[in-house]
Amino acid sequence: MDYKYIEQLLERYWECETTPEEEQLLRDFYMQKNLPANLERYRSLFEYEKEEANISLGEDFDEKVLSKIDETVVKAQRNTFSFRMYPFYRAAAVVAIIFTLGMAIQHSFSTSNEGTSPTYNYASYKDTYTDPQVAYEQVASALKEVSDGLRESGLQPEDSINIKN
Amino acid sequence: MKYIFCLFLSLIATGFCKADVNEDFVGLLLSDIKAEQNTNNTSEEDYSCITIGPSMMEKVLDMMSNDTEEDPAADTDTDKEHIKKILPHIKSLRIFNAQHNMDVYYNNALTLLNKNKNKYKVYNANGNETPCIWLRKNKDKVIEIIQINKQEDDLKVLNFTGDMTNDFVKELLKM
Repeated sequence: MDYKYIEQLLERYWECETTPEEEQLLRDFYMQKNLPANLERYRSLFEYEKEEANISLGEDFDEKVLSKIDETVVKAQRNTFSFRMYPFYRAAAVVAIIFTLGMAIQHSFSTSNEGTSPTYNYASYKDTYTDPQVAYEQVASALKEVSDGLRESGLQPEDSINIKN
Repeated sequence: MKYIFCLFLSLIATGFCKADVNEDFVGLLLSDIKAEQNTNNTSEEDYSCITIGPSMMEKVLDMMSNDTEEDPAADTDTDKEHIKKILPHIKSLRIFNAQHNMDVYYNNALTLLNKNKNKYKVYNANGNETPCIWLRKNKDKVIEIIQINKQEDDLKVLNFTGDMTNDFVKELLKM
C-alpha cells in the first residue's frame, strides 16, 4: 500500500493546512487495524478526536442548567419603612444622648453652684466715678440703706444671717 | 465617633465656661430689661445704673487709709470706722435707679429673683415684705446682697458683691 499520500496529508495536517474532508480521510485511515510502525504512533490522537466528536449533551443537560439558574436568582429585597428610617433613628439617638449629657452637666453645675465659689464678671464693669471720694460717699450711703433695711427686716446685731430656704 | 467625641468635649467646655463666670443681679436685670424693652414700652432714659467695681473699691480703701495716716482724728467718725472694717469684704456695688415705669422694673426684678431661686434667697426675719432683701450665699459667706427699695416716685436696687461674713453683717448693723 502506498502510504506516501497519507504521509503528505499528515505533513499538511501538522501545518494546519488540511481541509475537513482530508481530516476525515485521515480519521478513516486510522480506523484500520494494521498500520506501519511510523504511522501507528499517531493512532491515539485520531482515535481521541473521533471519541470526542461522538460526545454530545445529555438529555438532562437542560434540566441541570435550569436548576443552576434557579439557585442563583437574586430576589429584590423589600426595604420596610423602619429599615429606611434606620439612619435617622441612629442620628436621633446620638442627639438624644448628647442632649441628655448636656442637661446632666448643666444640672450638676447649677446644683453645685452653691458649693463652689462663683466668679463675677468684673471685667465688664465700667466705673461710673473716677473720684474715690464720690465713690466712697455712694458706698457709704448704700451701706447705710442696707443696714437700715436689715434692721427693718428684724435682724439684730447679735443674730447671724440665716437664709430662708 | 471622632465627631461625637469632639462635640462631647465642646459641650463639657461650654458647661465649664458657663459655670465659671456669673453676672451680678443688676447685670442680669439690665440684660432682662433690654431684652423686654420693646414689649414693655420702656426706654433706657427711664433708669440709670451706678457701678463701683473692685478697682475703684480698692482706690476708696487706699483713700481711707491715707486719710487716717494724715489725720488720725478722722477715725473718730464712727460710721467711717465701721465702713473701714466693712469695705475690705466688698468687691463691687451697683445701684439701679428708676424714676419712670417703676412698677414694670420692680416686677422685672422680682420675677428675675424668683426665676433664680436656686441662687438668691429672700431674707425676711420678721415677715415684713418691705424692704425686700435677697441674699446669695456660698457656704458660710454671703456673696451678694440685693436690696430693693420701692417708693412712690423712685425704685432703687442696691447690689453688693463680696465675701460677707456674719461679722461683716454685725459691723454693718452698727452703722
